[in-house]
Amino acid sequence: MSALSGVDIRRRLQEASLDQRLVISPILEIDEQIRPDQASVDLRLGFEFAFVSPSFFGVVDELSPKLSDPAAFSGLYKRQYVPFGKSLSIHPHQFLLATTLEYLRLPPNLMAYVVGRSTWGRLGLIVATAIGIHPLFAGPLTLELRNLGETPLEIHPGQAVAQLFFHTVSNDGGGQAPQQSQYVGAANLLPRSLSSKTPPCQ
Amino acid sequence: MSLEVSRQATRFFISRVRSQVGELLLQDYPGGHPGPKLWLGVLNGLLDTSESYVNQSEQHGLPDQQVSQILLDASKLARTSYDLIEQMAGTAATDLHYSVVGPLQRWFEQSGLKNTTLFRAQLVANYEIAPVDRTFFDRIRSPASSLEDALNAVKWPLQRITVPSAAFGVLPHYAIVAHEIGHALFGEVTWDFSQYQTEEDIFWGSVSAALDGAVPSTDLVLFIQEVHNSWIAEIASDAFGYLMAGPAFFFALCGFLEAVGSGVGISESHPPNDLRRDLIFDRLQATNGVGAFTEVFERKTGQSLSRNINSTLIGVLPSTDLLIANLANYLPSGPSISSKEKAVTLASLVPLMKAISPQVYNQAEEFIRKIKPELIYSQDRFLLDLDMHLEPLLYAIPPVETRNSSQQTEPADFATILNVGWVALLAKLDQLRVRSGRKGDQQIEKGEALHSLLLKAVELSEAKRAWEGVP
Repeated sequence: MSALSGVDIRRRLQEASLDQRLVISPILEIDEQIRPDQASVDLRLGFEFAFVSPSFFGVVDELSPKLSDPAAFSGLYKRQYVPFGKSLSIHPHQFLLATTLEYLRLPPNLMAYVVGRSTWGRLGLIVATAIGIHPLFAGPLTLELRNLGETPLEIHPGQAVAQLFFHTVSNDGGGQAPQQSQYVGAANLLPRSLSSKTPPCQ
Repeated sequence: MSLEVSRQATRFFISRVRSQVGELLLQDYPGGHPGPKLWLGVLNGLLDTSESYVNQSEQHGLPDQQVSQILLDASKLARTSYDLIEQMAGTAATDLHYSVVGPLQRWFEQSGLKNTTLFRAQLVANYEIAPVDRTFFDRIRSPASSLEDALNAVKWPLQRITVPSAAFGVLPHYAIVAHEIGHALFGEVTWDFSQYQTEEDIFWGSVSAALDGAVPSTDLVLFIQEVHNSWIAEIASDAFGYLMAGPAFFFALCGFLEAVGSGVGISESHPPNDLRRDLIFDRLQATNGVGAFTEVFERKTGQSLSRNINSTLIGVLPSTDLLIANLANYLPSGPSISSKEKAVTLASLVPLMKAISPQVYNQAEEFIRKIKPELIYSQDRFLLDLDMHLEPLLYAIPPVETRNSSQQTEPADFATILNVGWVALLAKLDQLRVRSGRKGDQQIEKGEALHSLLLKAVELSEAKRAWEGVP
């Protein structure tokens, strides 16, 4: 498994075969977001945010029948659309979900890791905790933002907050979309379920 | 003493309405569109005027009767402001997808219309445009300067465009908004049907014959003119919808009419669904450049595009005699026009409209060509869009960007997204490579996935447009 260079990433974006093409769309400024001398793509903050409002939700318990409904988590979050030109403050120790502006689609032989950009990290902003992205994922990425710093941070849609590193996957699984994969083709930033298999209840 | 109580009550009411308007002013509206805030400005102006009346009522020495009248006027204005808040229902980002207002407004502006617009979504399975006139406000005595400023900031008549919300708020159906914009354009065209005098004569002859040779009464003639004008307006609006959105408008109109169970759909305000469908489909079959829309569809999907591809349930018109009999049972008699007279009018107008419609479509096209020819969704563009986006969409790649002739990327146009989406939905949905559902109908799940891909395409193409400053 080797990491893709900036040049490799650009080449993958131009791949003629749709099956094999890496899609990151839109890349608003390609020379800034994919530098040939680096090995990543900068990702921008999107427009949809979800704030946790736990007071009326109770405890998140994977075994609770309440969570068997795919829409159950919608009660835990308050969603907000923030357009270009507007911003929001993320206060110390606040947690919220966000999306990337870019829509991502991975071919069967690529996986990726999303990580925060170092400047934001030094200010205390954690951008993603579930950082692995499997082959054939399609959709905007959901970012888990948490301000671990001591000062509020103002964040603006369109800001580059994360970067994506790509690795080739040696066995492409025959090119079939993983049927049980939770997020393939999805454009919803809220979680749907905690795991694909629920252990039996007593 | 009692007048003082009335004055305080009026102030209290004004304060409550002002507070409600203030809360609405703090919201962000879909697309950052100014319409809602301009409307709220008018409401605030009404409240300022109302408040100025209350202050005026405190002038020393005014007779009680005059004070009563002033306070009554103040209450009426505050009440009007409250009533007019109703126009805001469904304008919030929770009701209407944030990104769709931008492209709809662009359609409106590109067609040459300058009016202020107010987009809203309601729990009603209907698309509608309704003008809101300034005349009422101009009759208000001693308007506050804020009201005058707010009225001057609006380009009247304000056009309120309503789309269905929630379950019926389906993005591909939004092509119907082009038809609603067509209604606003209708008055901008000088329609000329003078070449159809023979067909008009045939129409009057068939009305007279169906009424056993009776000469139509003045009331019936007025009724006929009203229905005639309404039907022409609908057909012309369909023509504008077709011109701006191409096949997507045909699919949207037919799909929506079927989804809401519209059936035959003939009424005093609307020509029958079957006729509207036929008129648009005739255009889809007309060859131009790369071929007819129907040919392009077939070339790119391997499937034939039939006129009822997504509207099998739309009722086909029966024979004229049967139609008259059916309508006479269903239409209520008026004070001076019988059910039969109404039925005869509607049934006899069908062949006349068929005859006139090519002229309606041609004049609509001439009009758009003069205003902005690029607004017309052509057969060439349909082919280009399907070439570029259909196959990628089936690989879960939303049509966000288009490559121009110099291989630069541009934001995909709304009509592009709608057309590619409709073709995928009608002819290729089973090939959409998205997660299949753990339970339930796979096609429905794919339909939902396609819908979210199209919404994402609109959002991201609008983002690219905003970032690059593309008008």
